[in-house]
Amino acid sequence: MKALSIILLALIPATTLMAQSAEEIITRMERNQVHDTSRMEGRLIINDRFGSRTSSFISYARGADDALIEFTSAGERGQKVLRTRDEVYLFYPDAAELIRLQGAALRDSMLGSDVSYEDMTGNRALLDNYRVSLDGEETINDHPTFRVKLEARGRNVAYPRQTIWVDRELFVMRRAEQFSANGRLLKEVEVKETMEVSGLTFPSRMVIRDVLKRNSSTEFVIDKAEVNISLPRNVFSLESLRW
Amino acid sequence: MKLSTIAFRNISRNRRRSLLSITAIAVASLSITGLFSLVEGMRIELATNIQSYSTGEVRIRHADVDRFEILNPVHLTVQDASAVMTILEGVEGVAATVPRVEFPGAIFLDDDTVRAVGVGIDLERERALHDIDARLVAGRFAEAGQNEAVVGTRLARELDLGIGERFTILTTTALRGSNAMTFEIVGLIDLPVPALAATWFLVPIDRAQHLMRMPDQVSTVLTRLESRTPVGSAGAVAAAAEAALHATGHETLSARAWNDISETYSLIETFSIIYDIIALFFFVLGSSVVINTTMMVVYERTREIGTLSAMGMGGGQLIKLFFLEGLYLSVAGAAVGVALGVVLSLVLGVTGINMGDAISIEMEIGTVIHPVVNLRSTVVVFFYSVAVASIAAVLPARKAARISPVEALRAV
Repeated sequence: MKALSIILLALIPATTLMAQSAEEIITRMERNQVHDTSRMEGRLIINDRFGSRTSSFISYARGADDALIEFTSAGERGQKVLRTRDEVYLFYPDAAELIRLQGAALRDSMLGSDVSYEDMTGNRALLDNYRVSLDGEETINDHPTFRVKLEARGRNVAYPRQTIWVDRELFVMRRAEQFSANGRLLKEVEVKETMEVSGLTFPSRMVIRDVLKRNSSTEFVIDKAEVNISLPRNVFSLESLRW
Repeated sequence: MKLSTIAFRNISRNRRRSLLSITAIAVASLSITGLFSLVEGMRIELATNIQSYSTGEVRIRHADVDRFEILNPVHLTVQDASAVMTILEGVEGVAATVPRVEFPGAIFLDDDTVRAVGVGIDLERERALHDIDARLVAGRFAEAGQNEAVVGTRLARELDLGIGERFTILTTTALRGSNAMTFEIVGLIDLPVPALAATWFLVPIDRAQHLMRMPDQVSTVLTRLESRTPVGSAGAVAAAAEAALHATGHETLSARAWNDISETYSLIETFSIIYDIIALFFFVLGSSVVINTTMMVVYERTREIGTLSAMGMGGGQLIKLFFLEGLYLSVAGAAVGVALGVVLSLVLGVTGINMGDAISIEMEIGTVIHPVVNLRSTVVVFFYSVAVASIAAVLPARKAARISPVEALRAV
C-alpha cells in the first residue's frame, strides 16, 4: 500500500509535466509556424482522378487571424481570399460583388483541392481552440516526433479532434490527422519538406489528403517566404481585395 | 323475325337494366379515354420538354460526362465547338445545332446560399430549337457580350430579385478552378418544367464561356432534326452524327438520341403497358355488369328460350342472339363513353389539369398537364370496350344454348 502511494505521488507530477510539455510543444511549434507578418509565394498542386493541375499564389499573413491569398496562375489570376478574425471573403475580377462565405460554405473545397477555405485561412492559434495532451513519441519519416492529441474546447473549429506529430528538434509539424467529433478521420497532412527563414522553421512542402475524396491529394508548396516584414497598409481590409 | 330485331326488342324490354349495362360500359370507356388522353398529353409534353430544354433530338457531349456526372465534370467539354457544329450540320437529317454552356453554382445571399444552374445560350440558334420567345414573361433577353441574365420565375422568387437587380454566382470552371461573375437580371422566363424554373438562368454564351474558361468550348451541342421525328428514328441520326465526329478526330464525343437519354421518358413508355393492363381491368369490371345482365336475362327468359328452341332455333342462333344483345349494349355504352371522354379531354386539353405536387420537381414535365386525344384514346378504346363487353355476353349465352327445350318450357 505504501509502495502504491509512492508510485501515485510520483505519477501526479509526471502527468502535470506531460500536459505542460504538450502545451509547450504546441507553443514552440506555433512560434515557428505562425508569424507576426509574412509574405509567401507558393503553389497548390491538385491531383485527382482527372489529372494534376497547379495554381500559384502569393499570401500575406498577420498572426493567427488575418490572411490574404491572391492567385497568380492563368486560370485564377486576380482571385483573392481574405480571412479576418471571423470572416472569409472571396474576390473575383469578373464579379462586381464580394462573396462572403459563412456556415457550411466555409467547408467548400478551394479550387477543387483537398483544402477547404477554412483550412487555408483558418484561425491557427491552436491553444485558444484546443486542449492538448502529449500522447507519446514516434519517428515519422526518420524524424523523432512528439505525438500530441488535440481536443476542441468548443464547436467553432473545423476539426473537433486532431493528432499532430511535432518534430522533437525543430518543433515543426511533421504530420497531422484531423477527425470529426465522432472520431472519423477527415484529413491527413504530411510534411515533406521544411524551410528556415529568419531562424524560424516551418513546413514548405506538404501533402494534404481529404480522405472523404477518392484518388485525391493536394500538394502545398512554398517557394519563397519572408517573415516578420512590414506589409502594405490595410492589406487585410475589404478595400484591399479590389486592388 | 331477324335476330337483330329480336335483340333490339329484348334490350328495350327492360330499359332500366339495359341502361345500367350501357352506363357501366360508358363509365369504363370514359375513364380509359380520359386516362389514355392524359398519358398521351404527358408523353407529348415530356418529349417536347426533353427536346427543347435537355437534349434536343440528338445530344452531343463528352462521352465521359455520364460516367462522372456525380463529380460535376464541367471540364469534360466539347472542344472546337464551331468545327463540331459545322460537322453536325453536314449530317443528313440534322436541321440545326444549338450550343450550350451549363454551369451549376452557388448564389450567396445575405443569410442563405441558393444553388442554381446558369445556361449560356446562343439566342438565335436557341430559337431554332424551341419557341423561347413565348416563354419570356417580363423584360428582354440578355445581349451578347453583356453580363446580363434572364432568370427562371421560380428562381427569381427564391432569390427575391427582380429585373434591374444583380446577383453573383460562384462556380467551378473547366480548368477545375473556381470563378464568379455578377449578372444583372434583364428578363424573367417561365420555363414549363418546375425543376428548370427553380434553378435555371440564361446568359449569353460568350459570357458563360469566359466565366467557365471555355474558349470555343461548350458543354453540349443539341440538334434539331429536319422533321420532328418519331421515337426510334433519332437513334439513326445520332449514330450517323457520332460516326461523322469520330471520323474527323472528335473521338471523345458521343451522340445520343433524346429518347435513349431520358429515364423519365422510358418510364412513361413502360407505364403505357401498365395503363393498357389497367384499361383491361376497367373493361372487365364494366363488362361484369353486362355478364350479370345477360345472366339475369337468361334466367328470366328460360321459358322463352325453350319456346324458341322448340320452334327450331339452334344453339348457335341463341348464342348469336345474346351476343348481339351484348354487342348493341356495348356499342351504345362505348360510343357514349368515348364521346364523353373525347369532349372532356378536349376541354381539359385547353384548360389543362393542374397536378400540383403530384408531379415530382425532378420530372421533366410541367405541373399543368394538357390531355391529348389520339387514335389510341378513341378508336382503340371504342373497339376494345365493344370487344370485351360483347365477348362477356357470350359466356352466359352459351349456358342458355345448352338448355333443352323440354326443361326450358317446364321452368316457371
